[in-house]
Amino acid sequence: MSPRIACLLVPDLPLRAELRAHPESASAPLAVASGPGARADVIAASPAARAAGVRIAHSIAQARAACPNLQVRTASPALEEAARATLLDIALSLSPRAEIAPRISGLFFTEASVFLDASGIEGIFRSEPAFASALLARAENQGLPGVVGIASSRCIALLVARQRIREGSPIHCLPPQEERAFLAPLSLDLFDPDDALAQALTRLGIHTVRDLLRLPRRGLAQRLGPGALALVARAQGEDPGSALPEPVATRIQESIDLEAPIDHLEPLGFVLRGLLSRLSERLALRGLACDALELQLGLEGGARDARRIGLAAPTLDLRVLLRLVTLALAEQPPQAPIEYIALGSRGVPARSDQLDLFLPHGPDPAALGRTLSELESLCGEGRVGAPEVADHHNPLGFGLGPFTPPAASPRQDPLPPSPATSPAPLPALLPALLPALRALRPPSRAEVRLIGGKPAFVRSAAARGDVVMVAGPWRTTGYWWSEDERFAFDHFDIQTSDGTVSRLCFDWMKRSWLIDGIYD
Amino acid sequence: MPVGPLTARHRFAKAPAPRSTPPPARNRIEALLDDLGPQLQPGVSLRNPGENRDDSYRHPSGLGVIDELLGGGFPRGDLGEITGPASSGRTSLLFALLAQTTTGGGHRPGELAAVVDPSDAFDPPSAQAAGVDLRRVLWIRVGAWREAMRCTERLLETEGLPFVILDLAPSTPASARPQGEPEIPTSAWTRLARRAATTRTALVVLSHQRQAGSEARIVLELQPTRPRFGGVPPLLEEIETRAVLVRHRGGASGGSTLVRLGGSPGKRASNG
Repeated sequence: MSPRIACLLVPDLPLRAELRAHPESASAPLAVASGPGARADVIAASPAARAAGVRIAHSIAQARAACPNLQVRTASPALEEAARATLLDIALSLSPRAEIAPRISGLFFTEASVFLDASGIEGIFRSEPAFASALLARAENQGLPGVVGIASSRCIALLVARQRIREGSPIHCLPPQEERAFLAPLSLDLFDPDDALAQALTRLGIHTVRDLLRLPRRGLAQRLGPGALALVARAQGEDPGSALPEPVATRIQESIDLEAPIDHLEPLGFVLRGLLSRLSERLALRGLACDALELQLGLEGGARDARRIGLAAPTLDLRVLLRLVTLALAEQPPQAPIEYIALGSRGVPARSDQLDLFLPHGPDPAALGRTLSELESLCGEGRVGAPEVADHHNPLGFGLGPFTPPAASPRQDPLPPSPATSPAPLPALLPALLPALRALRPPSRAEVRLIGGKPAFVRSAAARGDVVMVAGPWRTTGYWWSEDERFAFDHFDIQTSDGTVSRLCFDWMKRSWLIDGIYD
Repeated sequence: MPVGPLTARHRFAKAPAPRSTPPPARNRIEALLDDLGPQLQPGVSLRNPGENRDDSYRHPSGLGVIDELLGGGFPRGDLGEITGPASSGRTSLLFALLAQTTTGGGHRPGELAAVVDPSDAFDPPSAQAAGVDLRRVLWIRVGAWREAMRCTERLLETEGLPFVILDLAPSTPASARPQGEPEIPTSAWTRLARRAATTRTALVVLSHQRQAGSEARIVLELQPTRPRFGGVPPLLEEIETRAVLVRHRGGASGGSTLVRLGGSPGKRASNG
């Protein structure tokens, strides 16, 4: 059974890339120029611009003369690269093997195409046209409308797709037995031969595949060079490349060159929103979620600003992502106006959970991830997570790790009651320790009067009055080998006359009294 | 002789119809009761729907006298409050609740809990010493009470998170507002209570004074009596406090008990 290859082809990529980033211009007359200035050429034009008389290869001055209200944008390599990568994401959302076609020059330099394995897709989509329709619909959702051709090789699938553009219908699935008949009348222009070969073939009166295949190969090679043989191979539908690969890289990036530098957060928010929206849509196509954002800024004057914004849990929530990025920029503004922005993410699979019939179900991992990310966007990075006991003896230390709770343990049958135990449901596993401590962060400074080496009076924001009861001191020291981290405290548990029971400590490093916690 | 609450059917069916009630309205009520028949069986009270909830929908503290006072613990889907001054045992009670929730107390599977902590007062070593499974605690070190309320609301929107604690107790007495001056508008509490009811989450607010007003189903006030220093040299062993059930919507309020928090397990709680 011959393989089946689908080709999704977008004929006017520069225009689509611009409209993908600026959807508000969709109905306006828009032309994409090859460069800045009035002498640059139009390389793509929107239907409204074409209707007004703008043509490809017009100069911008000519185009403006034809259409006075024409919007002109300079072709952006960053936007085009992102659009091409999006084509690959679309393909991978439907097939495990896909490959983006290399950039080409010549007649079809504005087109972009992606090839994907369509073998055996009938099991899922019932038919090749249904598969092609699904592919087309996903491309249109991403702002990249195009055509789809399906054939037994990349070369023929691409030709089928190019032929679709000329004929105006978006889908053609070519059965293997009809390929020879399809290829024969095709114009050689569709193969985009180089200029010298094209002129030579025209001089010889060879215009179609049928004309070319009638000629002896050896003679062609002798007269027209190896390029002619390669053209013959393509005209016969032979695939020059190997089998379609299975991409493993999951880093996704969206970038944009700004028309004018931005130096305020508010207008930047609109640009970031668009970038993040496209980024999250592409991650969703691959079934991934964003666990960290890599933000790169190109600044006026050539400087670069790169930063990484971590998320508490993988998410695709646009509101959360936007808030985190704007928070990061507000906390640490760039040093100069921004000219270029790139946002990338190494997608990670969204969390999933296996429910248990006999255990209470916790939050859905995806919903919990969204919640965690949103909480972090409200509180700031590193302020949401699971509390951890620090691995040292500094009483002021603590940790905050990622919140990844273990799965619920199976139900344990309660131990049979013994006559010796109390009937009250007391937690027998709880250790016998002090009452709970409420930490004071930062600790409250205290003025202490000592009598006989023990605190007798305390004045602080946390507790004030004569010391009624005192226990201690207990000395805690550590990190004596580190100048910056060493600590030494003498701790007292005290009750003051205002009724507060607190933990008073003398910091030997700073030679000061502190209340670092209230027993509560 | 104490008489329990009348059932819905009894109240509507057996009570004499007031003269002012027009017959069509009475018929509509009867029709409604017939429609709701399976849910309003005799013995089921309309006045106190929480009474019919299963104990598995309550969060006990593991402290026998407190749980007895609360009728089993803080119910899911409702807002509860623990109030009291500094050193009254609020945090010890909070850790006991967290320990029971996250470990299941050895009887149930451990569940998740979230602590919204605008005072940044949560002490992980102390919580771990109280038996809390820290892996199942989500700690949100939020800045101000406005953000704390927003975080709490967001948590209450998350299905499957059974227990949320909002710790509004001030770090120091100086940072507390005077008695009777509410810090947070009532409408905010209404919103949180509705969210909690929707996702069946137990929301417990810890504060120095009542905050949620009538939105709180249970209000437990802790009044410190005395800390207990024992031994030679003396060591802080326990905090003794009186727990007063100030409000229990649909239950008997006004009860109180003496609790000793800290100390050995056997002495951890006792009736006063």
